[in-house]
Amino acid sequence: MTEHYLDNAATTKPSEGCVAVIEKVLKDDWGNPSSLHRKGQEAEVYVKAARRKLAQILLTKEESIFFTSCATESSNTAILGAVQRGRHVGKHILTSKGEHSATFEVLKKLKDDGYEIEEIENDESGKILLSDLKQKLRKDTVLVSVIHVNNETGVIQPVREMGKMIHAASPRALFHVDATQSFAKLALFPDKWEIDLISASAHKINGPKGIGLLYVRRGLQLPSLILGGGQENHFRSGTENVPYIAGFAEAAEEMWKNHETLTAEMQRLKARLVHELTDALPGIHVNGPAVEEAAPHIVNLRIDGVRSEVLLHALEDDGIYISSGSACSSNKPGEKSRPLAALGLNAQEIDQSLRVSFGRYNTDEDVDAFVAAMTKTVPVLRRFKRV
Amino acid sequence: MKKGILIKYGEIVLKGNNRAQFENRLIKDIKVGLKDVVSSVNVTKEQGRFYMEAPSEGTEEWMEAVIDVLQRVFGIIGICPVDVLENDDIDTICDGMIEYVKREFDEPHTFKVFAKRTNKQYPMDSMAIAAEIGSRLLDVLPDWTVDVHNPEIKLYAELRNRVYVYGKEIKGPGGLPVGTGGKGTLLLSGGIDSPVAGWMMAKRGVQLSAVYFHAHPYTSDRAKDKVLELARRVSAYAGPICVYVVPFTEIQMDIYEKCQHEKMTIIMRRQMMRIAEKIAEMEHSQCLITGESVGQVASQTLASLNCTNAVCTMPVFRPVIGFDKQDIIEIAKKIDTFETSILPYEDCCTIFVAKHPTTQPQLEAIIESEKPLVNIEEQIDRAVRDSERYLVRESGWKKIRIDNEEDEADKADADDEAKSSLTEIIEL
Repeated sequence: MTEHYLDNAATTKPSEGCVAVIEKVLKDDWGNPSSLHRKGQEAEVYVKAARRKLAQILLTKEESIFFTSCATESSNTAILGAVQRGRHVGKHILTSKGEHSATFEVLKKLKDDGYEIEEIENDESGKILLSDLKQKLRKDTVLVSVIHVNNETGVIQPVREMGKMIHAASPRALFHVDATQSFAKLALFPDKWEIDLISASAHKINGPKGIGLLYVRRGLQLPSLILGGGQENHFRSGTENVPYIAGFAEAAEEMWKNHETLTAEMQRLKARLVHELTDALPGIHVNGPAVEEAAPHIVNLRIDGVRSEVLLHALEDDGIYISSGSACSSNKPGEKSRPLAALGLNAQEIDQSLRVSFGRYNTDEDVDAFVAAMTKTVPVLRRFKRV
Repeated sequence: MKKGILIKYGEIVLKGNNRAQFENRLIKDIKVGLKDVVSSVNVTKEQGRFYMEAPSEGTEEWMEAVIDVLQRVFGIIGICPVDVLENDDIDTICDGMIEYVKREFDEPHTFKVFAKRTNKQYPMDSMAIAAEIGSRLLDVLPDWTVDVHNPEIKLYAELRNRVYVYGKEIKGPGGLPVGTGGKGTLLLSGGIDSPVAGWMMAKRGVQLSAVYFHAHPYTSDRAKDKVLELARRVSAYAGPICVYVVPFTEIQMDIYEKCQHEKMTIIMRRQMMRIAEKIAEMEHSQCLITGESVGQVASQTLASLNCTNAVCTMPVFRPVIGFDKQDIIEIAKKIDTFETSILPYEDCCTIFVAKHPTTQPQLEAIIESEKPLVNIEEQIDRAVRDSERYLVRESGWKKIRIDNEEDEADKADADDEAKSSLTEIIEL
């Protein structure tokens, strides 16, 4: 059966170029970059080159790029480091209502530790209201942490405008952006936009799992969470994951080099899917931002009268993979999607919501298959409701 | 001095002429359980005991690993790490016991010595041996005191084919060796009760197969994995289990569309029992086993149980029928199924539940409301035929492919492991 993978916000298929680089490093250039001999130096070349390539995507210097194990580690390091560094500034933190767990759970812990966590209001599409941000910024604001592209709704937050606003009102606050869904797909220029910290990961852009990066604005000193051999300029110890670092850079470069074409194609496929689906079936709604305003690769749909989890399993039979909620949270009943709740959806509506997300390998055939399977399956499932 | 493990078994001592068979069966279960744990397994019979000798190197690790397995072999009531002495000379025995006590206990205790001798020609009787050991122990360890009524420590010297001294006994699971009690088919859901019910029957020597009803797309493949994981945990005690994963959606949908909704659960349970009985016949089982407990849910009132029971001719055993939930949970925790059972995947029983299901169904009324289901026989046959089969062992599970000789042979081996050896003579 042909697979139609439409869950690229959860993870993506590693690109061939990326797999080839990883294999090369594992087979030939497997030295430890910290070793003084030639074998180590050969490995170090990959790390240096990767750092340079990734820095170029953010239009920054390689000194600002630190490798981590994943975006979750990056966000933890950024947030915990920011509040530690700003412990004399205050205990006020601003965030959006639909953050990923990698941010939400850290802030929840900080709240237990006595920090004041305040949420910025958003419009009906989930987009932060800059006026509300401006109003809530204080002298003792130590951190503003916001997800750039929401992983469930695809809403794009105005991080470009936020940086200057934050630093004008709260000069000692740090601004962290979770760019896991946007890195190398959307423009993100921290040095220009006054962003202090950025989290990103490789596996959302056809790289391997288990490798991420943290951008730290030049001159900003953050405490380390992982101590040891002093790798990554003493910021993040542990022998570098050279094969995955090289694979990350390769995948990111492939994406960024053609990002305008690739994202335009994702946007086109997405718009087509929504258009054809709403034509074919009644009771289909788009949650969050309008299709053309959202991130190119994510759309969240609500199907009246069908539980998305059941639909998800039914679509498996046609080789179609999608998500109900985000993969990280949909396995935990009782914990409903925060991004969807931020849109004002009730529990039943959230239960009927699913996410379709595109990647660089999707084609019109995937859209055809999805629309056909939905047209076949949804009416059947609508016949059987809980009594 | 050598070290080893003395294994005590309970009820099977009483089994008269079958005793040798039961003993052999138990030895086989021990060997099967230890197959992947230690390199060589040598079990020797002693009167009313088995003895396993520890290797001279890596003794402690061997002991730990073997004891861990033996605690899950039904039929064993006690596991005693022992010192084995060179000879049965009374000086050797006393010295051996003193050495054992000094090594095993840091603090003084009250104690009592028990002696047993199988050689009735031995110059001293059991009482005299015990008294001698006790008095010499007190000479060397004056802080210890004798308490014949309520001793903290019971010290044993057993003069058999070998001479054993020991003072610690680890409880075994009891019950009867698996396979000595015939075969039963368990209705296994993802819940807490059914694995416990299966375990309880296995404890009475019953070999298990299992049936799980899968309602794709309403239940996820993770729910199926969860059930296989539960079966795997039960198989640590019960030996290999063949799990049938029955496609149930079509039958459920048919009930949903054609029957009164408040009777839906009972009718669904009846369909499950019909299917389970078919599978039980294929598996040569002699009973069905469920995790039902009176009054726990609407389908488990006596009226409901009567209605579901009525479709079966095979006996249906419900070992937890009189248990409170808490009692069941305690066993589930003990046998390590609880944490898996509470994983939050929906099972097929909960997806289409009426708001007010009937709790006092009348059999005639149920039969009446089943009438619109015209294709029951055909549906059931298809569900049985389209079932996936998994062979589940403690080490993991594999799908038995249809018409695959290798897989079928594996399943036959697993069946043999459990049943054939009742008359098999094991070389000791």
